[in-house]
Amino acid sequence: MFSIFIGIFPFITQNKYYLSVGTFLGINTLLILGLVMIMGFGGLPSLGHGAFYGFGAYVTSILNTKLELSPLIGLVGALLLTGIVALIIAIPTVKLKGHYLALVTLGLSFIFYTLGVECELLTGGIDGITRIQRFPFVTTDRGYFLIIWLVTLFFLLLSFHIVNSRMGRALNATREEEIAATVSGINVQSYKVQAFVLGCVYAGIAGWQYAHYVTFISPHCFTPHLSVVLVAVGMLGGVRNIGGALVGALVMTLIPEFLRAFGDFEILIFGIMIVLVAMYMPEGITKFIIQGLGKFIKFKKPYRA
Amino acid sequence: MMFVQTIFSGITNGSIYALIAVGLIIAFNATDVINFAHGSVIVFASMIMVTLVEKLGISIALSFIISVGAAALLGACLERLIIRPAKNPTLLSLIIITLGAGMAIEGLIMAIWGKEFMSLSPFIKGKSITVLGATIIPQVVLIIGSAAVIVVFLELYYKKTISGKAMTACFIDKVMARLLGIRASRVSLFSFALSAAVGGVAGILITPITFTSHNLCLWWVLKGFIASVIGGMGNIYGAVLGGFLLGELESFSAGYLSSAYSNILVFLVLIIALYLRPTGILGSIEKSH
Repeated sequence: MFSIFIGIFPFITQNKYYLSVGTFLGINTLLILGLVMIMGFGGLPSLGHGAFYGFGAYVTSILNTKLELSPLIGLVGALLLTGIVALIIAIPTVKLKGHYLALVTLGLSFIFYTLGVECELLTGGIDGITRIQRFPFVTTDRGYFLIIWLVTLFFLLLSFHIVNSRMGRALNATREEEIAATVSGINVQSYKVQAFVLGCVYAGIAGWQYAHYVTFISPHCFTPHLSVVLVAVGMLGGVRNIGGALVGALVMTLIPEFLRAFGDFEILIFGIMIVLVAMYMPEGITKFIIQGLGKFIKFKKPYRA
Repeated sequence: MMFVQTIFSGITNGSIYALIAVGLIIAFNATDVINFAHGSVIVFASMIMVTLVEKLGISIALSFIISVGAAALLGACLERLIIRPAKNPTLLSLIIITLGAGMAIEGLIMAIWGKEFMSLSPFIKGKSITVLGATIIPQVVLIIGSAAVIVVFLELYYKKTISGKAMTACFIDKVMARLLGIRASRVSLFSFALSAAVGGVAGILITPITFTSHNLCLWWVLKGFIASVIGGMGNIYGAVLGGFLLGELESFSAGYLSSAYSNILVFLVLIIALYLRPTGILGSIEKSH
């Protein structure tokens, strides 16, 4: 249903601006979907999501510009390396309680930014990497829109499937009542690591999308600030919902355009919005709307009364 | 000589982190909330201080009082407007609420003061003190002194005064405290105000040493948090110890490795510390949930 809309959209609008916003929407949806996996399903507050986003982007950019490899290889590289790094980070950290995990992941995003700036040989420092190739077979903006959304939709469906599978149920149980889950024989540690790595890989792929679309990246694109915004926006959309990722992405992509009118007060208002939503709609806007309409995409809760 | 100098610069940074951590812990002790907006409060206070002293020419002492007061007010507002009314706060919600508040305050700072760096001249003028061939500027002594005074004050406050004891009681068992007639809501409010005030002091004292600008908001709270964790979460002395240890750790890794990689080293140490001794060096008084 939604896919049809996406399919039609590029043929309705010729307008470059709308297409570009729509494309970013696709990238952001994937990105936030990753966070939904980590926070909503894994129950792990990760303030480092921006770092993995950036990592994926940098991996493919470096492979592309320094080693002259095709973006498709860049995808594989981004996927694998992001996954490996996420795995290394995840194993010691998923055991940590909420606050500490948030702290460690926040530190991670600072480190990524610092590394991006300092490792000039590899990353081009503050100036970043330019002239990244676009996808070889896509030439128009419309084409880009479709390709990026194709990838995103694939992962949306994949997530849907995962959530309704054994892993999804295990994660639900773990998130709700960890001790009971452990006693039931669920390997809590393993599932949490899986959720984390999965979410980070999504972010890495979103980074790949970004790099080859914008053809220019720098550490400023991937600041700790971004990680905070991602968490806030993810929660706004609703971290327990797959559809929430889309809502969150809508907010993240569209609101800055809207807030630009306020000039200097942009961040202030955004911060206030975040606080208000976190206070009064902790389940996210999507839940709020679902309770009103009951029509959005949402994951099934099999055992709820 | 470099060794001693490294130690001294560690003390300089360490004193900053200690002060920030103490402020963070005060709020945490009373409310079990890690206030991610603490860094923003710190920067806010320092910005006000700079404006009062540099732009309006008000005396340092008076500006100090006003700025710390403003910080305390901000802290109280945070508690009253944001923490308290939050419906059914899960851990994630609280993290995001305070992060959002921090972002809002940062936005406020950006709106009012823009994106430039601001600085103050040191409060104690004079030559640097030279000890064992390494120098330390007098401002640092002021910071350490203030940290000491604040810690002593807090110690006395918690142990000797009724309101301090009430705060401790609330932390140990909020329900019981309320049964005993303690107004938990008032304690919560006051602890946030106190925490913000200490944060304000930290921000003001720091400014002559490092510049202040809006993008330090998250940075400070991260450092404060790390310091608390290393030293022992919830423990005032732990916060101080952790702060100095963090300062030294950074200083040595920056001096002998490189300043970029010092961040990574700290991060690794943090992970190892959390893994091996999650309650910190001096032990944590965190409740188990």
